[in-house]
Amino acid sequence: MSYTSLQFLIFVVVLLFVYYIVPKKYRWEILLIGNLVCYYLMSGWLLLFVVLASLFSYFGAKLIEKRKEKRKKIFIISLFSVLGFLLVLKYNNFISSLLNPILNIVNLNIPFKKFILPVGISYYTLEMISYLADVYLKKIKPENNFFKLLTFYTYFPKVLEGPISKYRDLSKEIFSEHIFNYESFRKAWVLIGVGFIKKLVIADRCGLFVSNFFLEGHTGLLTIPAIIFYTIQIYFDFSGCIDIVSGVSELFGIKLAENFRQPFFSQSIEEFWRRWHITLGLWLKEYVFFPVSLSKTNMKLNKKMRNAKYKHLSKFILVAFPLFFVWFFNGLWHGPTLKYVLYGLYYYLLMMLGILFKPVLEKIVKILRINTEVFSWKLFRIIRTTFIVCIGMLIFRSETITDAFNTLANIRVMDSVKFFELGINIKEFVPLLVMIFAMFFISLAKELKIDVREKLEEQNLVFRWIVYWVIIFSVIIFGVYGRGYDAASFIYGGF
Amino acid sequence: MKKRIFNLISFCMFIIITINFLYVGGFFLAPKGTDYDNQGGSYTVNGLYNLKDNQIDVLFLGDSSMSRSVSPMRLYEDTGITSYNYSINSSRVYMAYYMLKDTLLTQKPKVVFFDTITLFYEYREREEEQRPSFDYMRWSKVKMEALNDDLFSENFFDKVSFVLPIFRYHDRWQHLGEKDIKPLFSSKNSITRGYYLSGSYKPNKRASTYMNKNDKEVHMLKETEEYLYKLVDLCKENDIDLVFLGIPDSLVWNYASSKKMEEIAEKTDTVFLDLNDSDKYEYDWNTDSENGLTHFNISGAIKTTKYVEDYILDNYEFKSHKKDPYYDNWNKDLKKYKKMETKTLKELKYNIDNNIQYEKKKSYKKK
Repeated sequence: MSYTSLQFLIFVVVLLFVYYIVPKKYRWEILLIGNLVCYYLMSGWLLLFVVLASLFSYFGAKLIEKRKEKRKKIFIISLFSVLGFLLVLKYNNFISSLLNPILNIVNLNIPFKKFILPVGISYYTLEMISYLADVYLKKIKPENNFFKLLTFYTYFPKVLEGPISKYRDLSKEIFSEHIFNYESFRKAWVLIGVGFIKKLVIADRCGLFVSNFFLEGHTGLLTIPAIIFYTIQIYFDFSGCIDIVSGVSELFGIKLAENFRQPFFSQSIEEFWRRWHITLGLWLKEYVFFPVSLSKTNMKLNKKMRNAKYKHLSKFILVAFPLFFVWFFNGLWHGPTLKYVLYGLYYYLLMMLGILFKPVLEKIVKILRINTEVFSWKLFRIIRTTFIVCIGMLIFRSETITDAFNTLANIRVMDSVKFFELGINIKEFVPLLVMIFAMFFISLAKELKIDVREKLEEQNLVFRWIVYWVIIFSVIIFGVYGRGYDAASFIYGGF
Repeated sequence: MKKRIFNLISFCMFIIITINFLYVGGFFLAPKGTDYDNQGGSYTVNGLYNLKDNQIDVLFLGDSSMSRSVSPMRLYEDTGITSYNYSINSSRVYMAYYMLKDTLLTQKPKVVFFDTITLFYEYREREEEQRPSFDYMRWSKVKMEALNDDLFSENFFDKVSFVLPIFRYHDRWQHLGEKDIKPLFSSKNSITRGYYLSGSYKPNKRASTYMNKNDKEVHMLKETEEYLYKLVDLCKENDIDLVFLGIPDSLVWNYASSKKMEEIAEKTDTVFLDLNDSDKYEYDWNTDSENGLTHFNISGAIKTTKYVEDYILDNYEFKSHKKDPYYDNWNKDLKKYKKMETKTLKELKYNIDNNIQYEKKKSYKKK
């Protein structure tokens, strides 16, 4: 059962009905049952892994509070007990590939094995870590009711692709008593509809072109639209999913954290990552960047650098050290291969170069008397950032880094294939383009702080209905699904 | 409170209108079979629904071979007996079973002729082969029963798309043309009563050998056997005589198939009228075959209709409906049908005289 399936929509409608007819104080229990059913339908009995990991995090947190003298040890054990599932099931081969060369010296070898992953393991593991860390850092009290914790970890809208939530934030939403609000209900469905357009009409249509281009090994100038289409595919696939799950969650009166804030309006890579997969960025900031920054090693480094001769360089090193871990883990989180690590380090390298040469660049801007406040300069920066992101996406798409470079190098090698022969014909291209523009204008409005859904709510009933029908029939008619298409699963669901 | 009631009403209205849009949109996008030479879905199915209740004496069920073999209007012209050729391309016995059930909701045929060609197919009907009949089948308990039969829809989405075809044909918006829009506003009447007139020809070179005696055995799929017996039972329950009609076919039929059918007919106490028996039934294989293998053209169909007519007249005593005012529409359509038949016979003559065989049909049309 995927988030774009009819079964999921029916499941949501049934659960919604039950949710609102039971008394308010029992509603979270209905959610728990719904979560477990949904998880079982998505992942079968791998459900037991999430239940087991939840038990570890529950008892770990309780013990951290109870056994004050051994809290650090308990925290580390609990951390590795929940992380252990992820390391064994997902990262075993990566770890084996790193350790085997050393183990081979003493005639040992860890065999390579591929396991079926429980749905959303990369997401809920981060949530468990943040919960344990928050209890350890005394930011929150441990939850006394295991089932409440389980409800949070398995909360069905976010379990597959996030947003990565913190117990201290989302628990307030889940366990507060919600009243059915028809206006919010309508707004939620609009968000779900937009999510469906993003996923089925835009992402999956672009995916047809991308798959054909890369699988058939084409080269030449069409590499450029292929890379652009892949960037569009990834963005609309992921943000479409987030829109669907946020909308679904809003139906239950629960607001999920924002995960995308118009990332393609970013003028720099730093800004892009503050707007793209926001919850992962915040998680890495809070649970990797800060701990490394405050670590003894970094403190010592800090002391040394304070007295250094080159102020800018010393500042740079102080930032570069913790950020290395952030981007290393960012890359590694996306996948258990060296390629993903290098994908993270690609952004790290560009950011560090940006910070390192910032004074030089500022000087050049001054000498050339460039007005940095005008639209054209901002547009240039947006295009530059988008270009960097597109290259990053190419790395993400390619099997290896070498493949990515080869793809770029092969732009010069002409291919006889034509644009409209790669899975999208001219008739299909027109609605695709229209929908991309429609999404651009919605993003632009959001960028200008206009709440599009709120504005729609203010309109008369007939106009609203027309908009609803446009959304519904755009998805049904122009969507890529059903016989003839192999419905693509959400790309970020694989992480 | 007033606001709540308004919200509830507007919500229900929105859902009802949306479902209607989805339903209508499905028929707008679905392939129509705008005339009798195009898949036949809407033409054949709607044609049957367009008849007045209890207007047919005989029903012909089967696949494309049957649809090209028996002309109900010719039978009516000769005898006044009313019939309908309810045959859809590639339709198997599973589909025929439900089509008969559906027919029985409005018609009470006394005899059903079932084309046996598909009974020994080694693969089941594909989803796209079920669509032409299913998409245009009216909503009824029969359609619901068929939808719940796992033989027809493998997954939940398929089931939904049989209810709302827009989910199956959503991508056809880019192929829509006059042929899709015109039928929505034109008559649903089938002048030929489901029969497909073909003016094409190609000599059948295998006709003299395909029924040679041999020791081969034929195999019937388990599902085919199950539904064959269900069809037999359904006919018995409704007091209908079931006649298995062996339409000559040099592509899939053989001596062993005929022998097996004789056994089945005996076992089920039904009749097997085997037109493959060249000693009893004569065809001119140089001019009667549409494609040189498996389909009849109008010349072959006239002969087949005559053999079927003889069988009916020999075994039943149907009254002629020609002077019955309840059958006025049949007399009107017969005039139109005769014009179509004359035109098709002329087309066939032209093709034979100029040796324009089946494959060359397109170049003929260009002239």
